[in-house]
Amino acid sequence: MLIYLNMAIPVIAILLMILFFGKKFQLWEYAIIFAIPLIGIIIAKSVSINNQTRDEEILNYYFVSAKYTEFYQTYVHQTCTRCVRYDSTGCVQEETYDCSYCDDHPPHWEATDNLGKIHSISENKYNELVLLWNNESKIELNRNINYHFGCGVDGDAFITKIKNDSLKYIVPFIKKHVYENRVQCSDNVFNFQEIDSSDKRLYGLYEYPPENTFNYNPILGVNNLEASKRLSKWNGKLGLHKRCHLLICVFKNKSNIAATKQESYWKGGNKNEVVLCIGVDNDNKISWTYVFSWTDNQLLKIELRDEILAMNNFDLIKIVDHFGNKVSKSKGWIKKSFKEFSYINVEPTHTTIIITFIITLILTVVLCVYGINNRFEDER
Amino acid sequence: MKKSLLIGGLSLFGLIVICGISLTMVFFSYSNREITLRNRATAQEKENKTVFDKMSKTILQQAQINEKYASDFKEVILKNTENRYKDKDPVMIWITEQNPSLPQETYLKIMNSIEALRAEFQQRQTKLISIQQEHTNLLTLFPGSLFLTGRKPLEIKIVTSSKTEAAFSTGVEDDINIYQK
Repeated sequence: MLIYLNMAIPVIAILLMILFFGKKFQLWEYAIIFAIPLIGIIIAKSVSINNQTRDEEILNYYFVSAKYTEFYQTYVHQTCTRCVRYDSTGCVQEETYDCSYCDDHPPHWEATDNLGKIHSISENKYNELVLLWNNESKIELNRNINYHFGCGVDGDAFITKIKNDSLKYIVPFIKKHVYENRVQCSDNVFNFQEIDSSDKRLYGLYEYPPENTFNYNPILGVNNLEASKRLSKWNGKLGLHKRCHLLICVFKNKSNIAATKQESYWKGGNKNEVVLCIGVDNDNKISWTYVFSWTDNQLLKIELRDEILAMNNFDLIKIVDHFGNKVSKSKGWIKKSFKEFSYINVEPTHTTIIITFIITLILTVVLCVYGINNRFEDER
Repeated sequence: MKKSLLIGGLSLFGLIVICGISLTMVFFSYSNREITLRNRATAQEKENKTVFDKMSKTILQQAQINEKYASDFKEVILKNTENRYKDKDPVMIWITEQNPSLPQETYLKIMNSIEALRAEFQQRQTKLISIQQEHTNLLTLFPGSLFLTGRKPLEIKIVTSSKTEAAFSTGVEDDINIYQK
């Protein structure tokens, strides 16, 4: 609301104009001096609040079928007209001519996800799916191809479908989704402590993994491609029904404070995330576990923490499967609705207020100078 | 001259009307927000009561079931042992047999329930505190403080223990022995 105090500038300016340059202004000019800065302030406010509250979560899906449509070519018979004689009024004589052409339709590959949406994919991705599902079949499209000299190639389509939703056949992919997170930018008690770079270094805290549609790595701290792929498959499988996103952070020879610092660094994680933090010692034994998530189901977090800790040996594949199974079987997994936090007030930043003040001042001065010097002065 | 005076007067009047309407709108906006937060806090307090009730009942009943289970288990084991050892040399059996133990899962389950329900209740209390914080901000920060003078601060009920209250009122915590009797 403080940002609206900037409106004092055009209001004062209008008063000054009425007092000193009343003869040079018309009513609409005063309206412009008032309205333009107001619009600017409203835009600045919404941009600032949107920037502060904007957050991104990762949504997970998997492909259920893929289709390859072959290249085809057909000769299109067509007659066109063109103008052959013009005069000052325009075209006065037209003639028809043969403008038939060879119509090329390039091949394309597409895949349907478990939500029913169709995505364009590369040939390599299609081949990967064919190899994995091993049930490609041909669809005869019975196209009406017109052959003409060298032109005309028939093309059909091929389709492959997922056999079942077991992990073996799942090809996951991710999508970004923007949502409003009022907690992250507020001074509310729900917000977390700020983490500085020294804490980040000391505890070896992680940034979010880079968003890669097909090769997203949900495991941080260890290089285990098989486990990463497996957790991605779990994410794909659980993504639609459970609407969750599982992540694992591994901390080697760090105290369990690292996990709480990680939680603070990620501001509690995104609303659909379950983050499993694992402390591992030199002997590859699990020394501590910590689970953080915005879910209201506390039991899931506690049981998961205890069960993973009880595993003792750091076997990442086993951990991933247990993690996925636990969340998939947990009836109580509830994705937090951040609309719950709509009561948290977010104000534009001080920088925005100052910049808006300067812009409003400049705009008002420009508009006043324009009002004084424009041609509408003579009309009075 | 007259026309410019008229335009000036109209502009001034328009400006005053716009400012007046804006200020009224701002007042109602602040007032509504204050009332919404107050209502939200009341609702949250009621919700906290039900969660607290659920928490105490669940823990108590789980504990009772566990206790019953433990006593029944003890009874069954005693009966079995008595029957097995009847007319036999107990020393020999002691050497070969392992004593059955009460499954620890039952205790782990109640431990987890306590922790989860406590955490859930704590989260709800935090939400109530959060609503109070927003309300206090609204009442004390400028320009809200200008429009909401005279409104009472929001009072909330937070459930703690007498031990916590004592520690916070005296600023001293003496009971640091975790195994105290």
